Amino acid sequence: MPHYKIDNILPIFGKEFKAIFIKGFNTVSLFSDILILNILLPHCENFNEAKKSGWRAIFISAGIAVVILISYCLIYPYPASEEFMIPIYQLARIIHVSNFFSRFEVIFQFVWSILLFLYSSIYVYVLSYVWQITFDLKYYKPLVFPMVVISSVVAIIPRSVIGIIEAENWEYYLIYPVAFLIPIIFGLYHKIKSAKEDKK
Amino acid sequence: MKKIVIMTTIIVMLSSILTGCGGREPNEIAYIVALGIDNADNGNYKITIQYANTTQISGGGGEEGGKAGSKIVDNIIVEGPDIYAGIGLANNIVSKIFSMSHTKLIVFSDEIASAGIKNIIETIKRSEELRPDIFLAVANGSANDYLTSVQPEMEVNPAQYYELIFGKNHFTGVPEDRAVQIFFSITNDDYDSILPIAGVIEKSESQENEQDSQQEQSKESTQSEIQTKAKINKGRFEYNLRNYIGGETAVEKENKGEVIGAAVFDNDKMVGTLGGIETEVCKIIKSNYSYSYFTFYNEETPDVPLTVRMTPRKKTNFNIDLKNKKIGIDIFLEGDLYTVSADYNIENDIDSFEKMVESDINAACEKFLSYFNDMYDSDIFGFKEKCKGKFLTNEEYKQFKKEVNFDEFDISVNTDFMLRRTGLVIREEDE
Repeated sequence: MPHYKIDNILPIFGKEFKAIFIKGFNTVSLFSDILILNILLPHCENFNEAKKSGWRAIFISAGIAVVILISYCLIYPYPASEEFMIPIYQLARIIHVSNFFSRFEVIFQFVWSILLFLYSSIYVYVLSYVWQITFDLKYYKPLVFPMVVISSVVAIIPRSVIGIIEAENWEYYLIYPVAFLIPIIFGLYHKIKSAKEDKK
Repeated sequence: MKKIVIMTTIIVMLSSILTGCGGREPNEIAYIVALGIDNADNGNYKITIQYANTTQISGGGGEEGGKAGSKIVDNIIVEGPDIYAGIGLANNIVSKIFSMSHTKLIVFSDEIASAGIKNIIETIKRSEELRPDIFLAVANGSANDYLTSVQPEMEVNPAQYYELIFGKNHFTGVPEDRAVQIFFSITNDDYDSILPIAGVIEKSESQENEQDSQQEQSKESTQSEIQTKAKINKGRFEYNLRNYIGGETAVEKENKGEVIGAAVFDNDKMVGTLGGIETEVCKIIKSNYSYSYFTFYNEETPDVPLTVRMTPRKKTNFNIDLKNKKIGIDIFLEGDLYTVSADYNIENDIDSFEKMVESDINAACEKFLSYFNDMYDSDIFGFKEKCKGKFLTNEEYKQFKKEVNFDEFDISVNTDFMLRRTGLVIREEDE
């Protein structure tokens, strides 16, 4: 908080309307994890409980994300804020309460590693489950190890950090249709079909 | 039962790979506490690497505690085109591997600072070892001279010495900029920075002669008359104090390194220097200090100036009127009176005293601002940054930064000072 400066979030409209609302729409792919919810939801016994905990999780995580984003914007002014590769790591590095309370990024790194393992295990399960359903297989467990190997191989394809950032541009063409458009299209199709059946 | 055995085996096996046997032991690493960068031939830098001598800090193998002084650090000088090239070369020279993860200070020579430091700042920005809160300073002369003159007398830990001496920015003689502020000032161009000036106390010839003769006559050393090129200030604010820059105090002490005054930057190039008193005025205007002692001339007792311990009551208010080209600076201070003549009863007229202090501070600030605007094109007060709220988009703000010239603006300072306490003594008003 001692590093906060209100001037750092001004001018309020920054890069203007097009950059914020149109180009900024690209970053909605960050929420593509919502697709995982659709796959995990059938496993919940109580749909209402799942709905409640889901909303709670979204609000809590959104709140934390907003606080982190605002902190970052208040500390790192534009255009310097655009340069850093891992903004939240830079935020952790700047914590310096006294000589004793500094280098907090080590603690954050530990937490992020745990988060990474949680994410990885969920994604591997989801991949295996989807594969099982798609090919009508009896078990998903034999698919876990091959999925891990395939994911690892795909992850090391980009030659460098710059390659990963360039690969993100390709992700926009792959993720949007799968994560958003297809569920929306299927949802609308189902609604139209049910409405027609109700009329009959 | 079988499940428990399998789970336990997996957990034990996984735990064994969590232990870090890779990497280096602490006694294989030499921790750099400070770096000095000077010019060398062929466009290279002469890099002074000051690292902690851990055997002296810990007291070695014996039971005695750590030592202070020059023994707690070692210096090695290498030549290289940049910091990491120099470190790589130095790794071949000493037995241990250098690590910059505990580096507290990087000092530039005045030559390097005048030529521009943005390439060195780029290295600091990209490095995962160097932290964003390290101190940066400009040496009054050579950075190597400053680092080799440093002999911490009261600290066993050399990193703590730099942390304490440069961290004293909550007083007013030392500006506060850490590396992260310089990144922003160079990248964003919303404001310009000032960095502390580090210097080596020089003995004048007469001091040396006097000391030699004293050593012949007596073993007791006495304080010789202070001879320094810093001019004495006869203005009403900080009356009778000298406007020192680092290295000019001519104080007799073992540790010849000192930090006073500020180097003014225009983006990444040093354009001038400010003395200790000027740095104080600058920090009063910015209100980024916690407290300090200020001395004021008093007509009633011309031989005994008044000393007040001043703290900012709240942040300075900047009113920038772009249309009429006016800047109004409102400074809010409060203070405790510490030094006053024994014959002077200040309790008689506190209001006059407060008005006198306000007028002296206003005059000192306006004089400084006028001098600064004439001499430098630097925006160390962040006037441009304070105008950000007047624009809606970055483009408009960028255009404003290109066109604005704060030299054309009228700057007025208004100080609001309140005297809170008069020390432990309070005299009744004379009837």
